[in-house]
Amino acid sequence: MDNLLLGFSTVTTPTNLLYCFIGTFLGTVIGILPGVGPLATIAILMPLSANLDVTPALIMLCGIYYGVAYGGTATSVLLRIPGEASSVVTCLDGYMMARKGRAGAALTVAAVGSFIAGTVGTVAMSYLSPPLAKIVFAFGPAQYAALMLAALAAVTYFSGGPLLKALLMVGFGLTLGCIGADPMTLAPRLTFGSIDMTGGIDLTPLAIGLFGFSEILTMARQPLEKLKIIKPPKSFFGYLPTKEEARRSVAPVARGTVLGFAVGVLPGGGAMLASFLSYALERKLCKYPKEFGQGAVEGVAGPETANNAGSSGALLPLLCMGLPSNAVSAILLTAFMMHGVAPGPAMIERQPEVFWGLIASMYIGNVMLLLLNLPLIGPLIKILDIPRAYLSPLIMLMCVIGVYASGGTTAILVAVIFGFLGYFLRKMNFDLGLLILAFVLGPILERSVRQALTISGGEISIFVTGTLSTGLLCIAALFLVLGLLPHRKLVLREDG
Amino acid sequence: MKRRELLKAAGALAACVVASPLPVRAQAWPTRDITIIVAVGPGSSADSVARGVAKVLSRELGVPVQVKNVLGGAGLTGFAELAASKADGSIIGLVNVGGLLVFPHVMTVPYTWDSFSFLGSVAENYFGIGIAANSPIKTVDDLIKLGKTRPITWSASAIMNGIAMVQLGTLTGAKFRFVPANTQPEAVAQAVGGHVDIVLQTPPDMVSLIEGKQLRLLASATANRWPNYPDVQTLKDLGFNASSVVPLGFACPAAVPAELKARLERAIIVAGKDPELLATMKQLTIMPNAMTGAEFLSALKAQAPIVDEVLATAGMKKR
Repeated sequence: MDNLLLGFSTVTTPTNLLYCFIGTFLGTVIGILPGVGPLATIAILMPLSANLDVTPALIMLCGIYYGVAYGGTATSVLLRIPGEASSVVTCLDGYMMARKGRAGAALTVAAVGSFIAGTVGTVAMSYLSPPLAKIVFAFGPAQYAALMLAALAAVTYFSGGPLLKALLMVGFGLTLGCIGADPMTLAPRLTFGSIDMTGGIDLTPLAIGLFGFSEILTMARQPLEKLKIIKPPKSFFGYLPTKEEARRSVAPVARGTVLGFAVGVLPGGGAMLASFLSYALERKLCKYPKEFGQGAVEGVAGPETANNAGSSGALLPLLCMGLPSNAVSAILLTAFMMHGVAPGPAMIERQPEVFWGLIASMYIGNVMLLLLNLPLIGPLIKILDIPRAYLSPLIMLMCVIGVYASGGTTAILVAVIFGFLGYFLRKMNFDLGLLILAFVLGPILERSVRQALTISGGEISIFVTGTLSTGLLCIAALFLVLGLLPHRKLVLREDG
Repeated sequence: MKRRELLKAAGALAACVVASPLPVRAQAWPTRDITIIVAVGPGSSADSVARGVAKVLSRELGVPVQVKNVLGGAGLTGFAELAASKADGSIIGLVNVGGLLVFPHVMTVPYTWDSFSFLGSVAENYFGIGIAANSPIKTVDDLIKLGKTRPITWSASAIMNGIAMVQLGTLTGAKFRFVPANTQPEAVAQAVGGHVDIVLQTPPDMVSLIEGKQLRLLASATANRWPNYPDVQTLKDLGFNASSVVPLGFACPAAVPAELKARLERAIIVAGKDPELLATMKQLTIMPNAMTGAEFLSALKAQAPIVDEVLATAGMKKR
């Protein structure tokens, strides 16, 4: 407690508060813009921040990091373009809510859920940090392989549609994930001799193509009268969720917080996996399963909470062990090093004002983000008032700029191809979320399996020697067997 | 008549441009921004060095210099882009052992050594052998003894990090097995968790855990000791002629005019002595190692037979 007070006294200087605000503000903005990610932003700002004191610099850069998960929701809900990878799954029900005139409610629920997740995540970090961070070391290649398998099996089982269709999408996603340099020998695979393909397909053009471009095509194919979007209420408080929506959001937010934080601590899946698992879980637990995919508020509340909890969870191994769990926290590590701070137990001991100042800045930053995001909802949902004839090209333009920024002309080509593919797959009721998830997790699964086999010298028993990996493999098997049982509840969804 | 005059004038102008001595054009250069292609992600040691050099080049040459991270293909895309880029001096790249010595062995690459001109180097990575703090292995001798009874697994985010391990294996007959990790932290965490025996990474990747008493630095795998752990010996100190040498230098497309190359090379030499860049390197524990273009090229070429052996040992060499 004393420590936290020290942190708050460090943070509550005008300079530190200002940089906290700049960080969270920038985070929100780049979260909203598809294609512009926190990685590039922090890389550009890092040399500039070198002239600042260590605490404000780190407060600002971390603010960008956790602010992104707030902003990423907006375009997912309003335009069905994922602003960040962790908001992909929000495209499903968030966008359908918007089409029913509940865009404001979706965004408010997401913002409040994010706030709760961010704050609870920070509390967890203040009190549980060092012991929890040690979990990271329990996971070696064999354990990761088992974890990825269990996650894929669980999400496939919960996916709703027929199992065969779900497995087809998983298989397709895994295949796409194989494109590029072999993880062990670097030999190119499935590249057809193209240099651009050696790096594999990027997530940004894939996600924007499958969700954003396919939506534009779907809209273009629909008769005008079907395109009517119910206008959100005009009154000042019109964008607040109804009592019913608020009541239905409570449990998903609570579950999303815990699940997201736990998944976020482990490297690999991070915020994105957290959001998918939460979506799958909510769909299974929801009392109104028919509404899922049609604008169920649980489908926004759960994942949007989980991705924020996930990104605070992902900071934990960095701050407590100096082990970044994703590309963004890796660049944060360099920022720490540039300021002469080696994050980890040594930092907590020797520079407590930096560690606790950061933690305290996260409490304040989350409040700032909530205050920043709630008033933005009103102006943002005005986007939906734009007639479709103007809105579609605008969405298209935003998608293209975002995709180009992420990977040049090749990326645009990829996005267009997957836009058409996504359109047909949606028409045939395939679950595109599964495709994306398998695409992200597949390479981690493959690498872990091959690393494990390299360590054991080809001995397959390495996967069942530890309790952790054996347990996770049992969970995976359980879901697969459950999925094969005949009396599976069939939930038909119109929109995938 | 008028037309003929016009043609004549145009001809004269063209002749003038062609005949004008190179230095005159070179003085006008640079007229536009310069881009440094970096084939690794933002935040890595190499990227930080490139950004530091960009600052100095910008001051020396009087135009903005930006760093462009071209990721993909484990770095191949960046090299391919550098080789194929315009030879007007507006594009240079950070190059290392990976692109020139490793990739050509494992995949078809759209460039050769002759595609590039080497401009010089400013730094070199430190590498160290890290081991879980609670491991029963206490010395390099213990490690070698164990390596004669069973293969020692080492993790690293790039095979170049462990050149020293392959040399050590050849020298002593101990067996070492490479487990490629996707990222630096992944490699380190596997060693701390005891999933692999040892890890070979740079100081920024390992310092937090060494300070946190989770990881022990067994030895430095570079020619010099780590400045922040001067008591830990190098493999050479211990009597083994083994070290991982990964210089960080710069190159441009080979077709860039000689005069422009000379100016770039001079600016990079200035960068190698820049106090601000040296301070950054000290902060991140990167070894300053300024070399001219020719020195850098021969340093890279000297690594060729060693890297060949490393790849063959790991079974990565294309047949």
